[in-house]
Amino acid sequence: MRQGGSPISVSTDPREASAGRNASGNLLEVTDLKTYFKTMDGVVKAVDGIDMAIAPGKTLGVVGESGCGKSVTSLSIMRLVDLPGWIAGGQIKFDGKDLVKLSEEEMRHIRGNKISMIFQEPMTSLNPVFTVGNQVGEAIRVHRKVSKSEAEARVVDLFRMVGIPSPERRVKDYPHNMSGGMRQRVMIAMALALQPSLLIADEPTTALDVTIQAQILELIKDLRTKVNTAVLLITHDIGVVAEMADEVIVMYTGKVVEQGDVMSVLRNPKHPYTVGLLSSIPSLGVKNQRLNVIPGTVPSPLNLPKGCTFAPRCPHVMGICHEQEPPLKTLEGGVKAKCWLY
Amino acid sequence: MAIGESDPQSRAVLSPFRTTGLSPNREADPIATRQLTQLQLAWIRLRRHRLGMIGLGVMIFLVLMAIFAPLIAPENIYDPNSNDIFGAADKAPTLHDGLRYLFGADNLGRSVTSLIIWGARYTLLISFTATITSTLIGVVVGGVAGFYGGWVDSLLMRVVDVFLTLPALSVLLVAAAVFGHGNTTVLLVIIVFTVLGWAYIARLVRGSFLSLRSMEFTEAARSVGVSNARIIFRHILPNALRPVLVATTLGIAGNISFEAAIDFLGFGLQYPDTSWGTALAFASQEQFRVWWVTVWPGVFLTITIVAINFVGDGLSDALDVRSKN
Repeated sequence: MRQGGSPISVSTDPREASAGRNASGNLLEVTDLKTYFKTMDGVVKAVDGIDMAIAPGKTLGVVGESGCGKSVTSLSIMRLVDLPGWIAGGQIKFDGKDLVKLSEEEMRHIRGNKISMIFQEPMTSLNPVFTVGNQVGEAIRVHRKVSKSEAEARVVDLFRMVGIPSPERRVKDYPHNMSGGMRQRVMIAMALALQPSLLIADEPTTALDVTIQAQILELIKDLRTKVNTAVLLITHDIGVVAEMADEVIVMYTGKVVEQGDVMSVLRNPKHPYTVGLLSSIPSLGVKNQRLNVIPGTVPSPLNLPKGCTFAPRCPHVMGICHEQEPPLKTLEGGVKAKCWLY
Repeated sequence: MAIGESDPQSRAVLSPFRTTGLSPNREADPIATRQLTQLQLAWIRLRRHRLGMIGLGVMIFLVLMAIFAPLIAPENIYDPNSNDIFGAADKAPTLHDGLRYLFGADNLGRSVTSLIIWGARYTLLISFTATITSTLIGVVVGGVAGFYGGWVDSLLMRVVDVFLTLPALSVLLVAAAVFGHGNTTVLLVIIVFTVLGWAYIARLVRGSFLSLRSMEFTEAARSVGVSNARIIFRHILPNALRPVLVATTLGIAGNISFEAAIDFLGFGLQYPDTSWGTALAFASQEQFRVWWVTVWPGVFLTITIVAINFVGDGLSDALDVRSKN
């Protein structure tokens, strides 16, 4: 992979890099974000008051079971939540601006340009009627005034950077000519085309083979150091978080239940939900042992239990858990947990 | 990915070149196949659809026949002096006079061949124009409704519902009375057919857009900052094109038979304007005294409609973007 001539360096502007921060030095600061969905049976609070922050070049992992609001969080940051969903409250401070307050037109200039996204499903995230080169080129041409041929040259460079062999040829392929791993590389090329300061990766490896997963993660890591992009990594795979993230947030029913630097949280989990998640990972070398599971399922978002929403599944449940919602408390070591045990 | 991995596919795409013997050196160069646009690929697939190609051939023949009617037709049916009213009245089909009486003559001595050749002009003009305009309107209305959803969708779809309930004949008669002083002109028929036809397309397009809007590639396009207009026309429309084009071809067929029907009932084109439908209507006024005046325009109507349906079928296969063969 060559670096000097890569398209990444083309649009670098040192002023941009230093301007891309909030007062606290964080690139992205989400405060009390609430995203609700209106359904026939009532309002679903998919994301209910979460806080998070990412410093430039750092990686924040967001983990949790399906339906706990991970993806909605990422879509909210991109302002891609469609009716019947809406952002009901909170702030998304990015680059000193509150994204919640931006107009659709202003937001359009940020998407793909400053913040971009890799989707879960590489098989369906590319438009079947255009060549992949065309689609990545479009991402460039939407934001920069470049000719078609310039854009294509950049796309070839990008393809080379993300490790697509014979990129000059592959840009002319249609998505159905490519394998899942190749398509995900195309998606990554598209997301990184304009060197965004934040990359949101929503389960980037879930739909891929294990061997390809490792390659893609390696690629994201590699690009993160080269381009100094902050990454918001959404996944339900704790292994991926351990590998990639600096900090981690554990979500349950639209709320943050545990938060801290990745080593502290994974080595010494505080919240019983995190403990459950970690112990349900099968370990290599231990045979004929039943896999630990967290009993029960995520409660219906329309009918959340009173008090702590994890209480019905919690092995350490106490009386107060059914009465009052615990606060997100900062513990020694800087880890935060939302549990009455502490 | 190794080159070898992509080889079988490129060969599959290449095979039509091989069978037609076109530019053999392309076959040696798999890269060449990658330069093919979707349109070229669709054309390759259409060429392999035998019935579709037959239909297309028939349609091209008929359109050329209509365009060059003044040159081909033995008589100018709009010139009262060109028919042999005394010598050829009710003349039976014969092979002895070349094209002129091949299909016989009516009671005015007009050659049925000429009626068919000239009649193709209005039959095809009306059905093609009306269907194309209704498709354009339908795509825009349906696309906006399906893409934006919500109240925009509800509002537009209620309008569509209203247009779907319009009784065709009554609309035509009212339009003729109000705008045509009781006469149905060609322009009036086109407008009425458009008014009656766009709602079907709009509903179809809206359905495709509703599902395509929630596809991940639409979201991916939004996530890189592509504008809504561009998403609608560049990203979603090409994916929704297949049902629309198929519906359009079938709409042309439908409009041809509907136009013939209203002519037959006497609400359509008025003398001297001639289409295949008015030729049929003319025969019916004669109580079908001689079979050839009825049968031949009917045969051409049928052939045309069948041919268009074949083309629609072929297009439906050819436009399947994910088709691998």
